[in-house]
Amino acid sequence: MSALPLPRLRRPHRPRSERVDTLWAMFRRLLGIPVVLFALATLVFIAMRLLPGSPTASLAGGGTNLTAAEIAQNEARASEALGLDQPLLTQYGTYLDNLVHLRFGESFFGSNSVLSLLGDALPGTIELTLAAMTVAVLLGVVTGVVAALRKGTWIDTTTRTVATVSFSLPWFALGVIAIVVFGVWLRWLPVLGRLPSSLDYHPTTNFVLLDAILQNRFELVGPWIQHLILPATTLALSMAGYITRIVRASVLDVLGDDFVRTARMKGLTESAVIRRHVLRNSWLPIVTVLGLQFGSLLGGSVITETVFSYGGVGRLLVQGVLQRDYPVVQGAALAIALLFVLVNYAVDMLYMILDPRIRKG
Amino acid sequence: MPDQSQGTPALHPAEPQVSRRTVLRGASVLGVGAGFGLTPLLAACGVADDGSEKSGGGSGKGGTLTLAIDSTSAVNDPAFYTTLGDWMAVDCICRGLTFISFESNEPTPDLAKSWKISDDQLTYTFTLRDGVKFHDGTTLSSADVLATLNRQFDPENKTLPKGASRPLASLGNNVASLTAEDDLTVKLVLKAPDRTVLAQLSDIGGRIISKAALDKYGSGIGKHLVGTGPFKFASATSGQSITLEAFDDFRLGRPPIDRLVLRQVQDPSAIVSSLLSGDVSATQFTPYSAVEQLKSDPSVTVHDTKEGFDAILMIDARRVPELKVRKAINLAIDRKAIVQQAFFGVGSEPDGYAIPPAQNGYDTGLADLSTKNLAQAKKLLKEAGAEGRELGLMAASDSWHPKAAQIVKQNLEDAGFKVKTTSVDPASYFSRLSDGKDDYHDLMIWERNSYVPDPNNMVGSMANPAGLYGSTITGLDTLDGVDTMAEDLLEAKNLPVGKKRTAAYSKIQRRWAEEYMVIAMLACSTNLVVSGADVKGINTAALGNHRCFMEKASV
Amino acid sequence: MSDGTGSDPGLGTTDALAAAPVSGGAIRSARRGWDRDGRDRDGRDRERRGPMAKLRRLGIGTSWPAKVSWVFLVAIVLVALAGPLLISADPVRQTSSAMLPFGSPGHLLGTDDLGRDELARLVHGARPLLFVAFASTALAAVIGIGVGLLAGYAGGVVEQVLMRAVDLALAFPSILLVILLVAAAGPGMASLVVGVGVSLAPGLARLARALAARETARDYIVAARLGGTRTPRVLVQEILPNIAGPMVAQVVMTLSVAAGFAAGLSYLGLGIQPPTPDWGYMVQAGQEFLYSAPRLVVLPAALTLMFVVACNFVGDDLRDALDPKGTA
Repeated sequence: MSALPLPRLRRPHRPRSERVDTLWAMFRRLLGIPVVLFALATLVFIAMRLLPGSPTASLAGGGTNLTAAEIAQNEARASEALGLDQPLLTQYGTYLDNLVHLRFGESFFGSNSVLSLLGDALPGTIELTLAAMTVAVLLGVVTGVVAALRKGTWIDTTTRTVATVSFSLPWFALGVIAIVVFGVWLRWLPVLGRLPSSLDYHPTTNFVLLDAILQNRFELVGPWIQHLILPATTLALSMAGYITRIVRASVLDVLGDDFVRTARMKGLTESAVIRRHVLRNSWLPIVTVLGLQFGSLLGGSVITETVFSYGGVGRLLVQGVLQRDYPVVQGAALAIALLFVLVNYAVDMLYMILDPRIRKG
Repeated sequence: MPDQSQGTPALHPAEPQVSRRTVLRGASVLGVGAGFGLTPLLAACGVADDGSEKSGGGSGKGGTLTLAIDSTSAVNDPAFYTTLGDWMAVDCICRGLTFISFESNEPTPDLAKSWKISDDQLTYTFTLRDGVKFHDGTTLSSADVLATLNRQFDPENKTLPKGASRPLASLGNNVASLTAEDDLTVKLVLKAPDRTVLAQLSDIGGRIISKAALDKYGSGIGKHLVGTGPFKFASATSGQSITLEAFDDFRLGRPPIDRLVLRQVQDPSAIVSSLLSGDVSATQFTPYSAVEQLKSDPSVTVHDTKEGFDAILMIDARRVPELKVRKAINLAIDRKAIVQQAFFGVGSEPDGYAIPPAQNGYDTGLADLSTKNLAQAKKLLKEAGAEGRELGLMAASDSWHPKAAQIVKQNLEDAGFKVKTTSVDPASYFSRLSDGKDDYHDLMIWERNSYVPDPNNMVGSMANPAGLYGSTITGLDTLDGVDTMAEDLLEAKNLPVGKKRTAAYSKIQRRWAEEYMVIAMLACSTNLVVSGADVKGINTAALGNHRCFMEKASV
Repeated sequence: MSDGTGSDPGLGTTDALAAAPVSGGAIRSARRGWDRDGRDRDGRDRERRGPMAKLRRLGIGTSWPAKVSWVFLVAIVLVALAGPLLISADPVRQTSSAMLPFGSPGHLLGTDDLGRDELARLVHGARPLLFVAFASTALAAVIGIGVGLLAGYAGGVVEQVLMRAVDLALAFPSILLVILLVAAAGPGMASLVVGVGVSLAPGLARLARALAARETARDYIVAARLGGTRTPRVLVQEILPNIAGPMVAQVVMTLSVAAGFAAGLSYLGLGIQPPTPDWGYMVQAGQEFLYSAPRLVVLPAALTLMFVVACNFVGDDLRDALDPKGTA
């Protein structure tokens, strides 16, 4: 993973032309986004149609004692209904046209609109990802600072070793262990789904926290957090290790700086030094890591979602590919990519604004 | 129900590919509908009393019953098969003209309180029950029956969603006319006799929808299904769950529970741990590997249901043209190992060839068709000059399939074959089965379920040369003399249930195995039904066949 | 003799980006007090020359986790390569239908649920994981470094186009890529290698580009171009060696990511298919027996974990040695 060199937050005086340069660079990058998304949409479109097998085979089915000829008829009928009998270029044209008008189509299997499927699936994944990142940052920052302050001692070595081991541990192993330990032996936490089935939840936005406020149902929040703890923590553990290392490195880096020595000489306590100067210095690389991790968490969430039966977009994507449900895969891939690209753009922009050296990037 | 997990779950591999039960989607689609013999009731033109007592009714103990299902697409439409979970919801929301409880295999009156069948077996006249209410307040009349059945029979019907599979289509092909004599009488006239009509109508495809709802929602009926069943549709979220609420005016009395939630749980170990914790009240999707652990845990009950599905190995006769080689394959298989290791003991060897113990027509006289004899297998192979023959074997990648594939591979290699295997995700398996040019299309492991327990559904489908199995998958139709088999099957189908019918099917099966051997039976098994210890009144026999009758259940 | 431009990486906080590309040996001899040939002013041979000493001078393998990891990695590679030749038991043969425990006659580690020898499966099972990890990293390196070098060197439109392509690859959900490959080509090592390799290439590409761009601006490159050296030569002979340090460290880090990714994918069933043994698949298949025979899960899981951790520590070690200022 390529972390950029740790930037300093000193703002040198920048002449106006440089500021314009920056804005121009930012704008250029922004233009790149639709291009990337368009290319991605095309790639997914082609890839899905290159896959062997087709959705119509499953749809046509062999219902009751249909003869092979009748099944073939069914297939033809389904193919026509879904627009799959058109030549490829026509299908592509229709697809692009729909995209531009923001029509994302319907699933082949049940005609659920892709947007509503995404609306059902994305919020859960996003909640999980954000929760995981929060826990990861908290864990990582605390351990990183501790390790740096106690550099060279056994605490430091152990922390670094544990950090490395934790992000080497595969998610699935962590998840399975967590279920056994916390769900079974200790019986502290639930292991199934997003909310208990005894609770009646009618989503407005499908973000539980928001809905609790909007619908005035604060009793949703407790169980929601309970169900979130295990999956979020197992995901977080695999990220926290990276953050620990970054924080430790940047803390060490800054601690040697002149201005910190000055601050100490001025009489600031250690914790004030840390709080004010050191943490401010390391949040940028942390944000970079999180930005890069966000994308892989969104797409890779399928494992967590399977192990914890947490309905989300990873499962939607995988199921769509396996069923050859073209609209669903196209929509889900685009949604994930869009989120990922936006998040990383935001991170890049932060960098550009705050660190003159990386402007060209 | 406490949310805490209790007990020790057996951790089973997380299966990321789509629900392992989507494999059954293909199989059950192959198996839906079906044949059935007549019952003595029929001869007497039906009986007013449907034989089931009213449930405890009233407010009972209430509560929520949670069933774990394979998946849901939030579309519950009897004309459009999507997932097993959705199908179970339809079973709870709607009722049909006839009903099979699976505790017995005979169709009993449900929405039709009686029926008359003409002597030539072509005309069925159903008399509907009076005063049966739909969830939307309307009353059952023949218009509802016509509206429901017509959309099954007519592919151009406007209320059909795109790609609808119409499970009753084959019945529809045999229908000359369907009319309403009056508000409570429906007349169905067939083109050719078919004794399985009553059974087919008990199946999910035959469940009756309110015409008012069809008029209102059109092809969107799947999101707002209205029937006369014990539970009415409340809400559904694709990929997550379906919520149903008790219907106070259910004909047989309000169910004891207040809510029925069908919850998607795909990971096998999650199923086990949620059974133990009580998050899930009951399910038939329990992984076989957990059976010992669950049996020894007092908080759950492992139900003993009769084996109702076949585990099969299909052989493509176009790619393995020598009968001797196919027979050798059949003789090499170690079925005991498959039952012990792939099914963890939940199942039995296929003594009745293609008919499992739960169905009428089960005949243990056919046990010799599925025995292991390695010496004989080797001998046949040698005679055919096929030692060292290379074969491709494909199997789905979930549940018992991969293990069975490995066992079969080993068995065949012991006999002298060379076998290469491939594991396919369940959702694409059906396409690959239909693709005769696939590299691995020599041997294919599959399972055959039926929603309606009748030999016509098992033997009739699998041995029919014009059917999916006979034609596309095994190439049976390319072999000599199969036309007579089709005739024999038709004849057997129309015999009344009894010794003669059983004998007819046994004869057909024997011939099918000895002269053609395109499907080798691996085992008979059942879906493992497990429920919480305090859950009572669920119809486990039905649940073992993926049917969902929860009107008497209580938690 | 050293250039003496104050680019000593050991002193102060000089901006490493501005460091001139001089040989490490020159720098080190300035510090040590004897010259590159190992002779001090009196002509005595001061330097230890053995291979371990060379490694130590490079700063490799100093801390004990690093040492252990190096040894473990080498051991695992050896086992993967030579092990199957030494173990006579057949990992695929189902010998009995019973699951035999530890220490049964003929089966040192027992058998799995289909009667196959566990030790043989473990030894043979190393190959798929290692192969996929190394091959996919190599693929990622070739593609990533190639693209990055070109982009950084060429600049302008070429750079923009290439980097947009890299952005695209980065935005494409990697799990989708692997699933598509598997659905198209079937599960197995080829799909994994390509899927993992292509997913990891963008990270290397970005770094290579940044480093190459920096180098391209330097005098010595400008001089080489003016002198007429053709592009491929410039790239390979001039630029590549000077970015090798951080690049190698990053590649080894990528190896650990590849290993983890590959393990996860084969756990999901997207990797090599049974009955060929493979650690990831063995963990998944063994989960059913977590309580009756935990060794079926614990052994392959532990080995996988140790491999990934070892790659991480080794990567760290290399990075500390070759790229101490963290330009990567």
